[in-house]
Amino acid sequence: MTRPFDRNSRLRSSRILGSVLWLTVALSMSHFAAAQQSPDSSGPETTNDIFNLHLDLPDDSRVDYLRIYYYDTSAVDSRAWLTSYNDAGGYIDRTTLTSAGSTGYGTALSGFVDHVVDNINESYTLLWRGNVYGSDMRLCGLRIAYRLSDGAGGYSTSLSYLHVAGSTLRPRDSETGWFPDESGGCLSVAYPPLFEDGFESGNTLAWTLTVP
Amino acid sequence: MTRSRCVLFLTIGLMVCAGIPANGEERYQTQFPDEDGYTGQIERSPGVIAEPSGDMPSAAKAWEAFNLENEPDQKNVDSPEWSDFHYVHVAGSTLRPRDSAVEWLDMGGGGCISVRGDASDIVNIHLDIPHGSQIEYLRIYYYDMSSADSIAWVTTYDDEGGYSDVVDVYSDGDTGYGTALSNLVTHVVDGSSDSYVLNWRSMDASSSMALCGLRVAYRLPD
Repeated sequence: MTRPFDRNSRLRSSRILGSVLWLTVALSMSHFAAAQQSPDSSGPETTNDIFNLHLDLPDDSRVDYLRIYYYDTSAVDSRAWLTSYNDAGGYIDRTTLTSAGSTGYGTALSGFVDHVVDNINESYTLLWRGNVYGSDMRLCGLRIAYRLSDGAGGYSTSLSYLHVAGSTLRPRDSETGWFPDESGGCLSVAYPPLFEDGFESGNTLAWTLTVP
Repeated sequence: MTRSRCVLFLTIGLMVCAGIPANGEERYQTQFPDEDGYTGQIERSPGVIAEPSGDMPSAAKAWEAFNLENEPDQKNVDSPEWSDFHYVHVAGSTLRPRDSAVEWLDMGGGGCISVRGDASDIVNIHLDIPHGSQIEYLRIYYYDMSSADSIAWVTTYDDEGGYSDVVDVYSDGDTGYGTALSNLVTHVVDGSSDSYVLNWRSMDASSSMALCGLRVAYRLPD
């Protein structure tokens, strides 16, 4: 005799399956949310991850200023640098500055740098450290103001600019995540994933319908 | 006088009082030191940076012993056709993998890059070099404690799946920081047809191998 339809058993299975699916959906949703906002309200979670971008400046030109454009509603300030490297582990931070304030979009200017570009011996890089995860801190741009050499020991009377969008910088370490703002021009540091096993893949490939 | 005329004259009057020319352009007054025309006080950037960008102190240059000033890519030769040398010089840590599955991290104060996983993975960066200039040398700066040698190239792409390696150079030795120079190549840059890329393959995906810099020596047409 075949066993009659066990409604309660079927109901239990459905509930377990539903719970598993709900948990899976909730965890996956948390991945997308976690990239953009703090997991709790206890204050900003800080990070030391640094982003960089190669800087191509004309030989013998003089760097005068570094300007940062940012969106900052965090109690923490981000920091940018203009740094040169000597190809043997040595570096010199030519200037640095922070995003000041916490009222949204803003800009800040470095002091007068007065550095003459030496492409023979040094490479130049723009660096930014968000110092905090999430969209409360965004790098929207960096601008170098420089003067071209006039070839006679002096410099052009007018300034030239190298101006990059924040979203073109990339982390120095592949473990660091990032995401753009709505415009695509600003960049924020993403919260690290909750799991290290690739579960938070951003798609449903890791999902299972198997009932434990 | 109609009401609209009164409004028009009032608007023009207010613009004149506010210093706004009637053609709509704002009167330009430079407020910032990084804009032309600024005449105010200038504050110098501090010589010592309070928060350094790297995880180790600045190191003195280590290249004096290599006598690089006597190397072919730094000794200018008078030429009626070409200028003295110009350089594109990139830090290793500004290259990125061609494949998102590749892991990387910075080393050497933040200026060098090391990859993990497959030793044949390649990292690259766009090479912005003037059209019509002549590429002559590629120099690699590396950290190499490995029995393997890494390799760097200048490669051109034709946008249809084709490519050509213009010049290559290997990291030489296994004693730490070093540099090596390619053979002479006289490649005239054709920016209208090709894109130019710097590539590096570590051949050893461990902390024993890192790329610290690439430098292209080129000349402009005289």
